Amino acid sequence: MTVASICFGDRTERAGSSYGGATRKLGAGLRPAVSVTSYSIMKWRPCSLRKPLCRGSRRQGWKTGRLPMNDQDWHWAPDVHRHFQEIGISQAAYVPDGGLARLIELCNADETIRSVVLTTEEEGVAQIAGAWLGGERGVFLTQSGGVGNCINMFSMIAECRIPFFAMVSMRGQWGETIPWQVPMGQATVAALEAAGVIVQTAWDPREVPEMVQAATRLAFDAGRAVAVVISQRITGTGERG
Amino acid sequence: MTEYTLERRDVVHRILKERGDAAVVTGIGNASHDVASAGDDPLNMYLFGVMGGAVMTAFGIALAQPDRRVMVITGDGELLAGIGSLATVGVEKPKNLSIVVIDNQAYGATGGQLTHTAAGVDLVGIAAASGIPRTALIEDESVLESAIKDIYQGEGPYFAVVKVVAVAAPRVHVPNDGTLTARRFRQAVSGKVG
Amino acid sequence: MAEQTGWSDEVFSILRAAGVAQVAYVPDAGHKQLINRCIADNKIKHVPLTTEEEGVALLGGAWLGGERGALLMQSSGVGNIINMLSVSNECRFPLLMIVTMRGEWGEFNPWQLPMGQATQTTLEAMGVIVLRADAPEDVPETVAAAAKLSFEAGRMVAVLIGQKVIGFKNWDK
Repeated sequence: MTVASICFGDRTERAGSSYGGATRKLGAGLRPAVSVTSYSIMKWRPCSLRKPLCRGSRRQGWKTGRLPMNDQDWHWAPDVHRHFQEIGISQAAYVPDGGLARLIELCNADETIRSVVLTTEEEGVAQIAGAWLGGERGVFLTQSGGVGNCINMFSMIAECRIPFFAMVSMRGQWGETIPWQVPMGQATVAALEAAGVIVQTAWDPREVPEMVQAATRLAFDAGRAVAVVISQRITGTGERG
Repeated sequence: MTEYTLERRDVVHRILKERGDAAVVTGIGNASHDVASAGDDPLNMYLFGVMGGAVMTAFGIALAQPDRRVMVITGDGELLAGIGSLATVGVEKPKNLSIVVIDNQAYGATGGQLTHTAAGVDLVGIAAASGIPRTALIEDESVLESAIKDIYQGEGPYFAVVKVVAVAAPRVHVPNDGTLTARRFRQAVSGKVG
Repeated sequence: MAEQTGWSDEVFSILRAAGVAQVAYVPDAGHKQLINRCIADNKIKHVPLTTEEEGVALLGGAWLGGERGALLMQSSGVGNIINMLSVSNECRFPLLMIVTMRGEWGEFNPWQLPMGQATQTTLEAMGVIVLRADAPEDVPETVAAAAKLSFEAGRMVAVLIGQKVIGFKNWDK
């Protein structure tokens, strides 16, 4: 996969994007997150500020260095799902969750990933551990509350040093409206770390794809338990389950 | 998949009409809204935030207040997250506990994903196999009518699944200040303040 | 064994004196004597659980119904209750937990280490006050203090009975 397609996604969606030119103008040390010609004709994907240069894209000029956060077409989930395919994720375990819904849908629709709905999150920790024991790679998807149902089961991950990757969508953290979500939300990171999981938290949707790439390396190549925590600022799930 | 015709709001309102002085614990999600929509009551304890605790919470109340009927109204997803509690209740057999599961076969609060009951998991079967002596599967109005007296009278524990149409009912305001609802409930059932 | 388990009888008396009417537990070797005393006493409703999470919910219900209770478990079980503590926290239910520790002093089973080492941190992360007793003679006094803190000051409290109190357990017996 080229850098351009990481940045811009499916090429068929890209009509007259511009990026590289602006970068050359500013110099490599400074880059706008995106440059656009016309919002109405173009679909593009924003690049993380930390990404390498995108080559082969035509510069049309740029307006601001800020991503328009109201681009309803872009979501971090497709990039993450694509990465899952690249690294051979073949099992996903989850309890339905609003914050991770889009990613769950992509996994469900993917014939190369066996998605399993759990009755409670503890089952998923065991399943994904089993995936690795069986020679496969899996991902555990949960809301922050569900983490609190798994702490004992994480003992197995720690004790057997099972490479383990999870994604956690946060509640009780940013803009929460349901008071009952706050205790576990505030305790999630501490609980994960106490259970021996390395936690990486994303506060900006643009960070997510790259962070997942880094986290899966840490998990599957460096043999650790790693969780990418998607903050509530990203998911915006303050009111529903 | 079977088409069900009962509507959750109607079912819960019908059940609650006969409640008398029964205490009600609601499981997180739609069930809380169903009960609250029938009218707020100090004898309602609305649970939020955590799945799987409704049956055991009601059991603790039932043990403490053996002369009062204690009822759980919850959803299939919430019950499944604490399914072992049916075994615990099945062994202990509290006489004043009734469990009613409004089964729409979906997780309402997270976007309507199908639950295990949609795939054929039989909650009535699990309850009966756990040792709960009186169970019922309610799929239509006439069965519901004859089940009402079993919910409130007779020796418990009693367990019923009511299959309802998987259609979202309007959300209502449910008191979610746990400190308030817990304390007024406790005062209502036990007379204790503080 | 007497000095290692004598505290069980004293703790039982303390719980009765504090008015504990419901005791929930998952069977545990360290708590065996205390559990047996609770079973034998017809004034205490004892409830064996399929998993510790049920006990947290049960004791919330006990308090809602006007009664006091205690949850007896091993440290590994603490890892099963973390999310359910949200409810006790949010509703400000008093909650008394007595936890026999594994995975610390003289542990022979490696699988007990992770949760044993994480017990205090995870409880405190959820707002539970943690007290410890590492000698048999300290256990009753610590439980009495915890019971007061829990029932009279309305808090979630856990007493961790250190593995040193149980001593080197011979599991073959």
